[in-house]
Amino acid sequence: MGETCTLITGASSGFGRSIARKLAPSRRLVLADINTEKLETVRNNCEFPERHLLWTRDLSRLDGVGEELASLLAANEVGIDHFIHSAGIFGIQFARANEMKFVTQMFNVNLFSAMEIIRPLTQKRVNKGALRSVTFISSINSRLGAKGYHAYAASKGALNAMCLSLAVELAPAVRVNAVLPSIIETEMNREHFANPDFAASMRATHPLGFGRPDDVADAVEFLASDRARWVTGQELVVDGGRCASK
Amino acid sequence: MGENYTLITGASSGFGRCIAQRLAPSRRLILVGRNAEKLEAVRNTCAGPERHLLWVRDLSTVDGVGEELTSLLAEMKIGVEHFIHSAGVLGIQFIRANEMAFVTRLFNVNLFSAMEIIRPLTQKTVNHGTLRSITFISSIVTRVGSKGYYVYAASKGAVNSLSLSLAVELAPVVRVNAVLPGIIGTEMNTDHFANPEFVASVKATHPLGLGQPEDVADAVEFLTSDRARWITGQEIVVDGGRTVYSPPRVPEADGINSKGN
Repeated sequence: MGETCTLITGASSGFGRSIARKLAPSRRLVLADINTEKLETVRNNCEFPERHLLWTRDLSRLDGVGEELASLLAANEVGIDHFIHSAGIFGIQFARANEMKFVTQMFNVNLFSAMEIIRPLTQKRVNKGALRSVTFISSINSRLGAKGYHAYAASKGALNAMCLSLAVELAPAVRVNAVLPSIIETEMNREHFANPDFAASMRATHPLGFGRPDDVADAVEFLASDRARWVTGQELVVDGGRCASK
Repeated sequence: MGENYTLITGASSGFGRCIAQRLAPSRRLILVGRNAEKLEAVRNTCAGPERHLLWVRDLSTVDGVGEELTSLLAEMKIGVEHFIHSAGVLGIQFIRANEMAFVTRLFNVNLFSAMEIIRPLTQKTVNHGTLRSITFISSIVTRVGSKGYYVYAASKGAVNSLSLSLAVELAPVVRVNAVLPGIIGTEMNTDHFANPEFVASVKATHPLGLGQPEDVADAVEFLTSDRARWITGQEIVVDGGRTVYSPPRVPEADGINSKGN
């Protein structure tokens, strides 16, 4: 077994990209996302680009995800010691218009792909016991209701509860935690932020003002490091005080 | 528009059956389950059996669930006022052996079928604004992790967040809440309860001892009634104190000082 790497899904944009840039100086990364060109761009903006690997994979299609990851690890003779699941899709859909195709795609990316990734990472013959931590990017929408968010909230609430049970199942070797951000401007929601009413309501509901992707990256870096060695099964809310003040 | 009904999934066993028996004297019910004989048997144990309808449907397949419910309501010219989602599948799986067929079945019954039922119930053309409450049966596994339960936990964690989001979306007309039971013996976990060590550990970790399905039915009855008119988006934990319990540090000492101080 060669080096160990930190696997980051959703690495080419939003939180995933921030996390990649933050960890690149001190770790070897496997950057995963749906588009190779965007992944290349992120890698080139990371320190030591030559040491990071790319995995181009559409996580809305589950078949073969586990097998392909296992092959990637074998081909590169690496193991994964930290898995950060930052891949996620977001969409608004009202309950009266619930459509399973939309729900399935969202759950595949946000939740089920993480299950299919963790499977090989916890198999001795594939990952040789290398895994040390799993960190999910969840959302405060799992705790605060909003119109049109029922499917997104459900997918994130599932992540939270899975985090708790996996923390117990995989202890003591692997710690499992979740970061729950409030809404932060990224590619996924740029149109919302362009709306002045929306921006004003954000300021009004967040005592610490607007957050940045780096705020999430800092929390993830902590949880995926040895400084969090006695922290597992936890939900770390990074929301500028929104939940506390609602 | 005819009469209004309370729709109960998972009605042929466990909590669902208990809830049906509890509500039958005062409401018209639609009992949902996958086995027609078991549903008939439950109906016959309910007060006023002739008042209650049966919908035989296996919720592990979600396709068509919404459409069939829509047809049922149209044919019978009725509306649904209260929806209680008690259908649930429990199963143990370890993540190193994650298998999507198992995950899909669990999620279909525990979560997606509920979404597909709620869809027509919130459509004006189908249910005519009749809906007043939704109550989910969730689980304390969303608060206390357990080996082998990550899939079941994920499906119930999804239910919890679905519940609170719908509470905001459907207010003020429809209240949405979840009941989180502790470990209670029903058909879903007879294997577990057949094991005396398991039963002993349940007694040991639930300060109020073993719970009964009636304890859950009581909570559901309250939430789905007018007495809970200002309660929405909540998780009511019915667990005999399990989630606040932590085993004592010193085996013999359950009080402050085992020497009697």
